[in-house]
Amino acid sequence: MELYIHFPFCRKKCAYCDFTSYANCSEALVFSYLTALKREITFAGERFPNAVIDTVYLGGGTPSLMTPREIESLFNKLRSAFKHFGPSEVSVEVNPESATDEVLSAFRDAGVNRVSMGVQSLSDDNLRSVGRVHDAATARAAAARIAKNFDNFSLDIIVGLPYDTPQLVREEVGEVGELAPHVSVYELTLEEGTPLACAVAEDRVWLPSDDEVAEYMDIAADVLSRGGIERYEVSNFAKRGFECRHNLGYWTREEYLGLGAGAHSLVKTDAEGKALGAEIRFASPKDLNAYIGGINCVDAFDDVPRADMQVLTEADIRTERIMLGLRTREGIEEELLAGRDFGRVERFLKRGGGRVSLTDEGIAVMNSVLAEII
Amino acid sequence: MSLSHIRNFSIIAHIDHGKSTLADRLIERTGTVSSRDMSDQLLDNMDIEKERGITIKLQTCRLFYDYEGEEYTFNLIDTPGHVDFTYEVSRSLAACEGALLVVDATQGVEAQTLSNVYLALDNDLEILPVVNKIDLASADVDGVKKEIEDIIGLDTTGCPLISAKEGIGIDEVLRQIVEKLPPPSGDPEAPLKALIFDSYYDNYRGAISMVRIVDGSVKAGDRIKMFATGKTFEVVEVGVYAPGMRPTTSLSAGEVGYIAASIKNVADTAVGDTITSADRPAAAPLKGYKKVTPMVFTGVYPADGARYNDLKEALLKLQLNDASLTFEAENSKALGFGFRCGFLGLLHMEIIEERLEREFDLDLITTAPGVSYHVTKTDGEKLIIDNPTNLPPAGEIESIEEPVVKATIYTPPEYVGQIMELCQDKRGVFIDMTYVDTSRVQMTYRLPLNEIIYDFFDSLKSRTRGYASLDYEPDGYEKSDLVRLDMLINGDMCDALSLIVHKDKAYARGRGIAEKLKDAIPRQLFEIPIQAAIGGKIIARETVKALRKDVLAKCYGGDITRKKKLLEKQKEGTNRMRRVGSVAVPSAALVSILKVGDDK
Repeated sequence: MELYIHFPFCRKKCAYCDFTSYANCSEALVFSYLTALKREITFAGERFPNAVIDTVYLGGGTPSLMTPREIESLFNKLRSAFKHFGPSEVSVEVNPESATDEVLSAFRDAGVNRVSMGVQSLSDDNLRSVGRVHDAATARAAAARIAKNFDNFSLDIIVGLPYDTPQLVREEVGEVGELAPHVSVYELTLEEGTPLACAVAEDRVWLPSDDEVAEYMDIAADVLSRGGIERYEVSNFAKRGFECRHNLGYWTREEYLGLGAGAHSLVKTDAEGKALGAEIRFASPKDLNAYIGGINCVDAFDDVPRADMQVLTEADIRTERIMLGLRTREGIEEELLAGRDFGRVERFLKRGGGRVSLTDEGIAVMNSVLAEII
Repeated sequence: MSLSHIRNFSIIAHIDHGKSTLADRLIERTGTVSSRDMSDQLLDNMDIEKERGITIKLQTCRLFYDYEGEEYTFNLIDTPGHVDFTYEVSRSLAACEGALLVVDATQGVEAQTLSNVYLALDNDLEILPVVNKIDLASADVDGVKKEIEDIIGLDTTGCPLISAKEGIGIDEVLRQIVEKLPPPSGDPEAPLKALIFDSYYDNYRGAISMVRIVDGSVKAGDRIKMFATGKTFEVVEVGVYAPGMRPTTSLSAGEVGYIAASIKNVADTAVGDTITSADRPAAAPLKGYKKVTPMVFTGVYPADGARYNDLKEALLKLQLNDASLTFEAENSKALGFGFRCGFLGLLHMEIIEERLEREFDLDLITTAPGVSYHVTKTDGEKLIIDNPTNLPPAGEIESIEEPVVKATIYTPPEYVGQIMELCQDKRGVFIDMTYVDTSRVQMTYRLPLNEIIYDFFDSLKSRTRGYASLDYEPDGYEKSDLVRLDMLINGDMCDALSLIVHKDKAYARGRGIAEKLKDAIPRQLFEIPIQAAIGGKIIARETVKALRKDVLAKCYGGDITRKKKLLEKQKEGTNRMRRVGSVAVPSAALVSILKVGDDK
């Protein structure tokens, strides 16, 4: 089983972000949140006493804002709650400005063996334009500190930012690819209601066109590939053996628990570890007070208030296997497509060895391809 | 009632010169409706009429007026103020002895002022000029009076100078109606002759004929006969509009009112037809009846194909009230099942479409409006084509004729050059130009109707800053060098976009539509060529480039549900689109292409 732990606090919210994260929160609120989170971890351990925890991913928000004490306390809780807690991969997300030696050591001492840092860009103009707290120099320094402490780490780049040019993308992706064995390259997604989306709608910020972004993605994939860093998922690139096992678990539909506000879970087993006879997806409330209150007024995992509870049908599961599996290099079993030939869409598919995956071109337009084949 | 105490009259005016406002004031001042119950422009019943400030369906109203101690009955017959409804106007005028000619003191005589005056003169009406809007700062009362005298030839000495809006001069109008307009004549003992000047469908009483009794009389229980169809009916109720329907014991010569006779179909109470007695029929009908034929045609489709039957029901209901609306089922590869509808003109078309959307809550896709062509094939067969897709291949066509109109344009002299250019561009043939006075020119052109309904009116207005006014009447058919322009999307013809155009215009139109299509069709997995073709020959080409980016980059904390929802939404969106061959085209794109006149 995989564990996802959410730390929903940031120093400042980025202009493009619509994820569960809150800026300018009081220490008291962070304290109540962590208390509730640990309570939920206890519940989870009681609900899944036999679960073998393979991977842990501490995401945010900005987990590097946690104090060494908070880090230690959180991981102690995980170890005590789950009997079979010996994960081979423990990842944590950090931001450049808060990834200090002190914090990194605390994570390492707590058992973290993989760090993922949001560099996002090595252009200060870009970073400023989307409200990042750090600048390029800070990011470079933090990357060096991480490299000193961890063998396995990832650096994130966003393409499609206002000041992107082919040259900039080539350089920044090249630079992070030289440092890290794993790189994530995300195309910027304009989420409704975010400050960036408003700025774009009001013509205060101009973003590169879709065609340009597609070109940047091609450049990034090309640059990384030359350095031996290959794409293994839509937005993820790694040297062999450095793929993020936790994230791959989402695409292969492993059972996972999301603990914390706004976190999502996919549950398939009962307390004995046997199949439930159904697969269930659910999430926790995004609102901090709703989450904390919900945890504090119950005594068991199954009673925690949930949002978006969905019992998956056979058809849902098939759809998910296709849409998630096709994100990866390994693709899906050919039989999922029931022997169908998709005519003109076939050129976006690679078939062989009983499996189907997407070509690079196909990955770039994956939604349209999926709309045709599901 | 003594005929000498009846006045039947209409109000005629150019659009916006204040006809409906004056009607309201007359109703109000005679106490027919108290000012408390007045809603603006009482005679305009439909919401669309009130919003657009135009009259579509005729209304009539009986008023009582006390003149020097004697009570007079006025029958005010409202007329539609638009060129599409000229025939209806002429029939309403035929029901009157007199007309108030309202002229805007700030605008002067306009094209429809003239055309309405001619219709009134054709019907031997006494015309009483009324100068309106005298309260406005830009009013030029003397200038307008002079125009009325010079252009129309009416004496304006002592004519009422009014402001219908402010209620100024209304009493003078009422007094002059008695003094200057003649009473009706007619023989109450003669066999019944009643002129139908309008009809409409009432849910409880069936088709109602609005009539002027010319001779004889009619009452409930009488058997009546329609001259046009020969059908007979039994009268259930007669009455007057006051302004609501008010039953009376009878209607007789000189009077205006309604006849209800359990008639199921408005087509049986055709405007212009004569009602007579089935038992004692008149020897001949009144003059002037003609069957109105649609001039403008368009395909009307439900945006949601599942609502085809709702659209059919709605059209049937509207037709109950509007015999000039025609429709028949047709099938388009791109748009599915719909109807080819015929209308009197562009405004009539817009009104029907708007009512379908508003009153029946339908989303419509309508093809570009067209006209009806007379085609002679090489084998001698003659066809009437009102849907471009039905046009035979060029090789089988001996000749095509298109409808033409005689257009009269009034304009200040400085725009004459612009208008000539426009008419030339629209394939117009110059007939005449006269300076009616120093500030106004009357131009007459013969123009293909097809050009008029495309964007002529808008172009005329924009080139003359709104100063020119237009009126037109059908003027037969003429041979012309016409071709069918087809649009191909990824090699498949989109039948909904086919047009019949003049050969000289085909290239420009084809290019314009191809460009619009290119912008309107969303990029898809494959490059989509868009072509304009005449016969087998491609005359324009654009390309919608293939989509290059369409992927959800990030998965936040394992939120798969959201991804799935986005995907489903995308799939639904695609399913709702129209299919042209293998290409999904959003309905909105087709609608934007099919809109008239903005492709330049």
